[in-house]
Amino acid sequence: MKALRHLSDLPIRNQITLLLVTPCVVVLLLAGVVMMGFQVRLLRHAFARDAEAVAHIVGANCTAAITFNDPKAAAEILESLKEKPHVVSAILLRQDGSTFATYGNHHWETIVSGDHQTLFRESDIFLVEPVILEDKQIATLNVVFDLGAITAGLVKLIAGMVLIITLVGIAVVTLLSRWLQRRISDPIQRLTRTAETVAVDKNYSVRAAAESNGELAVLARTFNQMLVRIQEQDDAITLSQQKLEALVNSIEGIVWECDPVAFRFTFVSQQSERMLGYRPEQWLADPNFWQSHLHPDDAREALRLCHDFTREGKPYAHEYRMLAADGRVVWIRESGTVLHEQSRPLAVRGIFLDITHEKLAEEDLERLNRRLVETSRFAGMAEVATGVLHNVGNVLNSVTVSANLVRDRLKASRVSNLCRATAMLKEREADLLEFLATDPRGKRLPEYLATVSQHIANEQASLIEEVSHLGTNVEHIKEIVARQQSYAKVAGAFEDLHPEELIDDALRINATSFERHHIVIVREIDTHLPRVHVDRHKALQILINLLRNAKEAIDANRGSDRRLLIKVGVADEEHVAVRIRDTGIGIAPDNLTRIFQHGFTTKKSGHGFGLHSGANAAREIGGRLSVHSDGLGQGAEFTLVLPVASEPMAWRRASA
Amino acid sequence: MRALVLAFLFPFLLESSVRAAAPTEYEVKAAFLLNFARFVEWPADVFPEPAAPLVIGIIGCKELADTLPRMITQQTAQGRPIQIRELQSLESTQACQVLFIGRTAGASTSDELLKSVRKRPVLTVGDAEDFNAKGGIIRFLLVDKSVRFDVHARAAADAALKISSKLLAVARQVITAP
Repeated sequence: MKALRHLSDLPIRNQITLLLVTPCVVVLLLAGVVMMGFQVRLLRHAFARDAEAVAHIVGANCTAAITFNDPKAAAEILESLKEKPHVVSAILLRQDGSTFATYGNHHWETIVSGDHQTLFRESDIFLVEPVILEDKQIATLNVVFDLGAITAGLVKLIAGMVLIITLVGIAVVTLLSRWLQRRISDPIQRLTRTAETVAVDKNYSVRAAAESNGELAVLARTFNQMLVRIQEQDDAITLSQQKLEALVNSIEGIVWECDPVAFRFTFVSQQSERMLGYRPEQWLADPNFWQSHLHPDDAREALRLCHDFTREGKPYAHEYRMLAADGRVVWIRESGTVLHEQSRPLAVRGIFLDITHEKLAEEDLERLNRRLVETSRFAGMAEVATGVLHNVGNVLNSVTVSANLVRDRLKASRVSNLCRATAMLKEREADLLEFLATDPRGKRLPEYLATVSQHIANEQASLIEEVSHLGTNVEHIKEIVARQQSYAKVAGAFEDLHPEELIDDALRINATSFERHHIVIVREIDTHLPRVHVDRHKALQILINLLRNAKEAIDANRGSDRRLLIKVGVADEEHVAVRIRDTGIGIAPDNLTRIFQHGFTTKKSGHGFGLHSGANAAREIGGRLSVHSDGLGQGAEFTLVLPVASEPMAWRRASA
Repeated sequence: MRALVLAFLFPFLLESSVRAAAPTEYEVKAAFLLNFARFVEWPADVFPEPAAPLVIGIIGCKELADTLPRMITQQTAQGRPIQIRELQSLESTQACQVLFIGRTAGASTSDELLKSVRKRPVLTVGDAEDFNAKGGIIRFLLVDKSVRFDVHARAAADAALKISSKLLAVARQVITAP
């Protein structure tokens, strides 16, 4: 196993050579061993046959000696066996088993037999050869051959041959495989060199050679196709990277990436130089660059926040100051995202935006706002005064009308008639009775006086009525002022009110003029309305304005239908809507959009302040003022939406 | 034990071994005579037909003429049956392939016989001391009481007989001079 592992470390040409050589050697050795076995066996048998032949010849040569009973001659013949070095001993036996002649030292048992026998024993061959003359056995020859020496010799010889064959085989196979393996290893090595060139030099323009049609050539061609693809993709990636870099560097902020533990930056865009005066290389070289360039006052907090955000792992943003290379303090807004891999924070990426200008603008804005608040406080006071004067002025109109009426009535009074009648009576004081009795004028005088008195009495009643009206209006002014004063105390304060309460107050203020103009008020107020959370004064101001506008519109229309519908209901979960619809002159579509603008009015005596301030006031108290009209002569509907007090759940439970 | 089994299987071996126990001189000579026929090759035209017997003629040796026929039962030489003839005259040598001339035949008869078969394919065997000198091919003799023989190879060659080298190897003396 280990050897095999080492094998795969070798160069491929050596591997292939080894692959070719190893089986050949194994096969050669196996064949050699098998051959050796066969050879030894064959040679043993050949030797045995040889021995048998020797025994046969010797036996045949002995026939005469036996036949003619000449042991000496037999011994001489046997002696010839010494030419065969492997013969250990031989013995010629008569048929009765007695020894006829011997050669060597035959110390084994003897066998008399009519059959040829070849007995392989441990280290020798024992041959039994019957000696036959004319089909008749006349003796038996026993010969012992030494096999051990011959086998050892044989084994040595054959092993040597096998060794030589194997060595020659290895040499031939090695040479052959060296030559053959080039067919495989050379293209692979070329391919490997190409791959190395690609890997080391990052040069994708090289190509592997592929001249044949085998799998290796297909591999080389496929490799080339891959290279083409890689080169294309590499070009595309380079291009898009350049594009991306250009994009990243063109962003008016520093795009960065850092590790989530030590906040060591791994990428910083070129903008860093423009924004802070530090080149990205400087930034990346120092592991603590960011920490050491934080504003000393913000450093601790910024670091703490960064750690917290990273731990939370959500996108975040925070602001702090950094010190630029030229010593400027730069306000930074850091937005970042933590990247995770398998729920472990891997990196943080984000952008630093220079918000110094914003910060300065913010400060300016703050300053401006403070001034504005102050200004608007004065403006508010003026507004309250305007509102009050507006209301008082409206009531004063009625007062003026009443006063004029009284003056006109008084001017046109029949009192002068009475004075003329009285002067006539004083003139005729002397003959008063005669005058009354005889003079035609005198006769009609009592009747005249009665009529005048009647007129005066009527006049008086009318004047009393008008004066009392006047008194009421004056009282009203007093009331308005008083109410205004009471509101002024809570001006700007929000309270929770029932909407009906507001409607009642608004109607009460306008009640006299409605009566005078014979306008019918229709109230449609839902029960179980939630309370609204408003500035009472402002809400009332808006409603009073709306009601007055409605009255004037109805007056202007001169129609017979003089109705004013006040409808209060829920607009949505958080708002109550107060709708005031009149049967007045309506609004031209062109004017609908301009109606809430400052200074816009269609009235001769108007100053374009009412609806504008009404809309503003509605916004200030968290509501909305809107208008709808189908056109001139079609009437108009103003809707004031007011916010519901902050326990809508309780209201909802009550209404359910 | 093994010898017993073999004897049982091959009764003739037993028989021969029993006889070999105490063979007489003439029994040995008879056996030798038979065996000579097995180591000598005759020209092919000697036998008129393939199954023709090998004829052994005996003259001048009563003992051998008596012993031999007992020994040739079922025996063959050169694949032929063996026929024994006790010869009385010269003419009858014509049909013999082996001719034994005993001492009792007398020197003149012996000479005549040898002369008559000279240059003819007849294996002449005798036990006279000058048998070889007179042109006989094989001469029996006794060495230390055991029967040996000399071979006159030249005479055999003249008779167109091929004597096996094995036989020559066993011979006491091989005479090659003419």
